[in-house]
Amino acid sequence: MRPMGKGHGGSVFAGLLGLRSKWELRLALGFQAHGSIGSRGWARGRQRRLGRCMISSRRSARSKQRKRASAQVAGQISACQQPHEEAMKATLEMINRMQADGVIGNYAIGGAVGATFYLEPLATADVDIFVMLPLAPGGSLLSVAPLYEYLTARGCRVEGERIVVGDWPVQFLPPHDALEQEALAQAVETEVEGIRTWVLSAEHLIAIALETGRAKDYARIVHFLEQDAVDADRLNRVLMRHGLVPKWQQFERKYLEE
Amino acid sequence: MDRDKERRKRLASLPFSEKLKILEKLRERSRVIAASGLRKMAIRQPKRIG
Repeated sequence: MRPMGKGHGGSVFAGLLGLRSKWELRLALGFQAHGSIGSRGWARGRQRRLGRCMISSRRSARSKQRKRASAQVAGQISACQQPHEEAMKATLEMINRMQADGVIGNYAIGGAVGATFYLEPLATADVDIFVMLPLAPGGSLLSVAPLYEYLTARGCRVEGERIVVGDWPVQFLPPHDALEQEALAQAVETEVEGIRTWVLSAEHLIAIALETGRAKDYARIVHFLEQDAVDADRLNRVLMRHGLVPKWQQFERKYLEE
Repeated sequence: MDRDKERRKRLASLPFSEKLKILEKLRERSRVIAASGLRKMAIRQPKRIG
């Protein structure tokens, strides 16, 4: 591969990729770690200075180190090939129990796990649960504190803004606008491994993704459209009701009209 | 491209319990990769010699 030139192109490109230096860019691009970031001539000179033997022994040591780490990862992955199949079942059972005990009201699965009901499985680190929280007695404020107290008392641990329920980190999201309230009210009832649960409709998942507007949300919308997993009329009505038509048109121009 | 679309369609048509197994595997894989030394190794800046 061609080494980087003498100018500042490497630094600028590294900056664009969010890397801290040209070294990181070289590593990200798969350059040999001990190579030069200057001109080819400099590298050749260095090779002459050090002698090829020394370079090749370093190269070989680095390569062995990489191979060892790679083999370690492969071993761990194969050890993980018996996934915790009951993990999601345990998560949903706990959430249903919480609902039965009055700690939460209606709930529905959203995010990537929600989208997986309609699409191919999408990699995700957590489960997004849209949840109605009951009002505190005598008050008008919603609080997630009782929910966290309930779960931590049953051995669940808090990880930042998520709480690990039955091996899945769960993020509880009270609806923050009319769209999410409607999504929750119109969630679809389903069963996962014999456990009754609710999942947001495909149209609401799309509208929420559009509203959220991150790159991964737009990619998810494209997946829904490509796989024809959406009722276009229903989606139009949802978008119109929640003032999302201009944003949809913008999305269409940017990602679909090519 | 068509083969990829076909594969995705086939995966989408799986029952959710099957999809869950794949989801769990994907999660485990990301977790293992994130915890491995490979990423740390890529960030470490090599010493200049010579």
